[in-house]
Amino acid sequence: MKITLKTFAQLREKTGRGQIELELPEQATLETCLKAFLQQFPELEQDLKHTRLALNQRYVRDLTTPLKTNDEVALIPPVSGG
Amino acid sequence: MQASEFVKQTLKTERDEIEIIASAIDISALLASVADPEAGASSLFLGSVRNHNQGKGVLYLEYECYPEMALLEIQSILQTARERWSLKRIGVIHRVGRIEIGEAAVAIAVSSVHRQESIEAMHFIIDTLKASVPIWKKEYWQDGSMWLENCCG
Repeated sequence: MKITLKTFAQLREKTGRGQIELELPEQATLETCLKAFLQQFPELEQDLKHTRLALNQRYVRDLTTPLKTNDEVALIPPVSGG
Repeated sequence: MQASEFVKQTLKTERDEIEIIASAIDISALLASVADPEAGASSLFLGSVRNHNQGKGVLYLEYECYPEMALLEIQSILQTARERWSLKRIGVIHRVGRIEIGEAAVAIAVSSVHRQESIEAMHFIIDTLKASVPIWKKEYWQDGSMWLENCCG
């Protein structure tokens, strides 16, 4: 399945892209998605420890959450709005 | 996301309006938007860019946003505020892109029958917004820059 992964702030700068298209196997979960991301950007493993996740514009915590094609996952570094 | 390519994002319900914009915030228009004949109080919060942070001189800030999600997160904060306080109208505007010293980055206006509700709700909305809404600011100094992280409010 094809999903979109969005990155922001320092993660956007470090990946050089605000949006990454990932091809994941069927039955993929958020964890599968993170692992696929880290395969492309192994140097960002530390950054991910301080990163929240969003699925289709909502925060999610459970890494076993299943994904479906065209889902939008986002890596949300510590926020600093306001 | 560069300010030049940012298109204003709006989420409007019957009594609430949320905007993410890349230009100066019109505070008079925001206050006018929460006017209500039954309201005896309107509370306004402005978050402005200051010229120093943690002992360093700040030149300007650059804000970035995940607009689709930011609108939904702010909407959910406003729903919670409405469950806790009796409120008339709420307007929230967050600006993105480069913002100069002294300019407002965020503005929140809340109206209510009596002042206590709108003051408390405004306080809750800005604190919660800073903790959870996917917006980021990068601070620029003479000798560098850094992405910031909101602490405990």
